[in-house]
Amino acid sequence: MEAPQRVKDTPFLRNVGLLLTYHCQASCAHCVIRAGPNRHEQMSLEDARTWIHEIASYRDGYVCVLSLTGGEPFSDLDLLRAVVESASESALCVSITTNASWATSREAAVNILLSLPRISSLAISTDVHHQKFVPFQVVQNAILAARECGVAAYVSIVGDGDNDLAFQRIKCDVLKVTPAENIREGITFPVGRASLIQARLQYTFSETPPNEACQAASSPCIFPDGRVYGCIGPLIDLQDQHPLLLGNLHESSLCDVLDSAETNAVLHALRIWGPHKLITMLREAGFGAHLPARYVEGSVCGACFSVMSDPAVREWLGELEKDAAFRRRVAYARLYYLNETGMLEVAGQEVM
Amino acid sequence: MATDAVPKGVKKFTVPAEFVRAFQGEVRFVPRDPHNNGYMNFDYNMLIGALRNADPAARERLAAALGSLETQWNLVLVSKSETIVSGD
Repeated sequence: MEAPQRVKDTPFLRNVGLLLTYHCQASCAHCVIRAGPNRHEQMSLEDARTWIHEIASYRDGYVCVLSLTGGEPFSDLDLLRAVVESASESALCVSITTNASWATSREAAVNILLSLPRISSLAISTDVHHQKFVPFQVVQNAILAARECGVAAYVSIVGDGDNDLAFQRIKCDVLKVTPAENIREGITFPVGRASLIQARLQYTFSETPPNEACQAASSPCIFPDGRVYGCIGPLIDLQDQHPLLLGNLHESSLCDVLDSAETNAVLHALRIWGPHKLITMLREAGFGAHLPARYVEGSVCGACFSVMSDPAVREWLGELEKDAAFRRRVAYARLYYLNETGMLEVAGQEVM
Repeated sequence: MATDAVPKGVKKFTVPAEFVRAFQGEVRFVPRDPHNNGYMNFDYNMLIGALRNADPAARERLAAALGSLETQWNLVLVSKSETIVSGD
């Protein structure tokens, strides 16, 4: 019997994202950032170049991968090409998240990929909502073109959970063109545009939150207006200050924002234990009335959002962030579980 | 590697015994399949994949960065028992 593969935690800050544009040919019903054909806000090339330089310089090259997302990054090929060139000049590996609508044929897709400086990977989104705008044939073209160009292609499928038959059907289609290890599955967030279709989402609910650690908060993402979030997930829909809103690059340097993230105890508690730990602490602190009665089964992001969307909880988390005993526990838990010394090194005696 | 034989310039961190006991009593769950938020996919396997697909300049830069442990945080050379030594 084959030994089970050890699960590895996602390394912190090895990947930084740039949300290049809110524009997208599709206006998917489940889009958290409400991207669509009528959205035209995008990152200026000047800002993108400045931030890429800062990303590449951070700790003498600590960040390895630049992830470009949107919206649809391929919707402005000139901007995309210039940004990938800038990243390549800085020797960052580039990954692009895309709906693949540009892959109208395999040949066309190959030509587009070859017109860009070398990229390391594509993360192609396809699911029941995307497929209303982008047929699966196009996704298949992109996968085959990427293979031909030596670019790793991952396919990202989200659905409502195990009972979502459309999700299972699409996964079967994807498995015909790419192996399972290149597929990433997720659960739709009832946030952003998806809040309008919440009643139709076929979730399975549980009275207890998922008990897994968060893997998303290891990769911060920069938005066109300079905001930096600890992850690109449902929390970006919260308008107020919260623990994963790390700063704004028009107010602070990237170095300061990322160094500050190293000592963000709530963020690292999510990475170490997941939101269920904070939910347990909230219940023990008498905040039971502020907690959801039920949680979407298997959705760590859903649990995180449902808790942090309560203003009283956010205020309590703000106080928790200052709690010396909690910070010390998190700093050593990072060392114990993740072999990460960043918090101990940056915060120093404060947490030792 | 003995944790008391720490090379010059390497920082040594020790998890206090109180935390070792506490953490040993915990069960920590890490998803086998990382959560996919649909907007940015990244995990350990993708990092390795990205580096394998990188151009020679990018690979050289990473090799230089990993080789220069003095300025690297989060790289742990030794992880045994209660003592962890960070690369630098």
